[in-house]
Amino acid sequence: MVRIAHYINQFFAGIGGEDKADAPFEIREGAVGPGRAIEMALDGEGEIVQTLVCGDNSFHADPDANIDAIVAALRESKPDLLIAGPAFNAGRYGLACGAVCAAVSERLGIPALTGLFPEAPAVDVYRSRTVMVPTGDSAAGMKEAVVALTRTGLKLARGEPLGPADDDGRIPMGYRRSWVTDVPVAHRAVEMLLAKLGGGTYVSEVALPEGAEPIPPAPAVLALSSAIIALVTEGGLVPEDNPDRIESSSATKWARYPISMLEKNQDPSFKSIHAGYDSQWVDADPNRMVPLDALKALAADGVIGGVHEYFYATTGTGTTVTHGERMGEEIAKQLISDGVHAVIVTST
Amino acid sequence: MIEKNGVPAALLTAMTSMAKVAGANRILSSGLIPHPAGDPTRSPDEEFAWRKGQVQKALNAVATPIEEALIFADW
Repeated sequence: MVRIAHYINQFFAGIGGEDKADAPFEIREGAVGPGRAIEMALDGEGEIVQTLVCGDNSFHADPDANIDAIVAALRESKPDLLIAGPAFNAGRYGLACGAVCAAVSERLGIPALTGLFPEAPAVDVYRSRTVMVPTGDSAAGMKEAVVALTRTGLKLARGEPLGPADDDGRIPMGYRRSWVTDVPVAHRAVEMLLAKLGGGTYVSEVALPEGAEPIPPAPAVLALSSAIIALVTEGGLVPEDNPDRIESSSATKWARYPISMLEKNQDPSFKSIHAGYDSQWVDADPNRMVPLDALKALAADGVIGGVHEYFYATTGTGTTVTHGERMGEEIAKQLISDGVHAVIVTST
Repeated sequence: MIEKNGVPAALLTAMTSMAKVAGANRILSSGLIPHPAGDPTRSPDEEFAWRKGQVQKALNAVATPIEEALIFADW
């Protein structure tokens, strides 16, 4: 018999709605409200030993104190599992459920899960720190939510390994796990390609990140023959002593170096410190990453007005979007203040 | 972010679809992942001529008005 603690808010505890959102934290014996539905779905395989109740406003008025109280209570009662919610698309309640689950699993090692609408605000905040099952956006989806919480909750409580989120019916937690398969990658790729060409269904093993917000294109250069062109790369090309200490991955820094230095390419010579590709060909000839020789030749031919006197470099592997956007913004401001008209970027 | 600030930027990369997902606007397929502006299989002179051609295409891209993100055909 799996012993379960259950966290709910004042509304689902039957205390009241928004006017009772300041209801203080309390502990009740046994199942309350949706906990009864969870017990029915458990069908004798588990029971709710206690219900933790806290008003939505009361929780967020002092989350640390409330979480400490919950952790202390569970340290005492030692349940096998904590279920929070389901909170559907609720803002404060969902965040409370995420915070409670994260704290209980991290501080007590007790498995925990909650149920949330995939677009609820708490999903992005807590997805990496707690197991979540997807629910509808309102309590109309209670029945399905209870089934999902119970199924995944029992697996967690019994220490059974979780499978891929989609297979398990969970909200992805944002990390990948490796496992051994019998079918080599070439076979899987060809099968996928045949399915794609044949109009069949297939599931990519590498999900592309969600598309970025479209950026309105910049106006085109009107007169190339008088334009100053700059070279920018995320290929990690730096003087070999890496004077600016640009990171080999997860970069937070960028730097610019005189193209005259790159043209000379000795004392120091340029090398790639990028950890995400084999740099032997670029190290042998940096023009393969920053095409300075070709751009200079085109300037000499009169195709462009000139080459901007610096090239710009950072490392684009494992780099967060936040840092990438910040660095892009900083580089753009510098280019504009230096009177650059257009840019050629290279990326690996 | 360079385009966002109003400066046209052509991206030479072997991974054009990834570039589009990441939000680049003027995208050109070029080289291989470890050397987007290089082709070590050619002789040095031929490689330089090829690279000059790739850079010329990138210049054409920044001189081309576009309405939305575009992977330029290898023309």
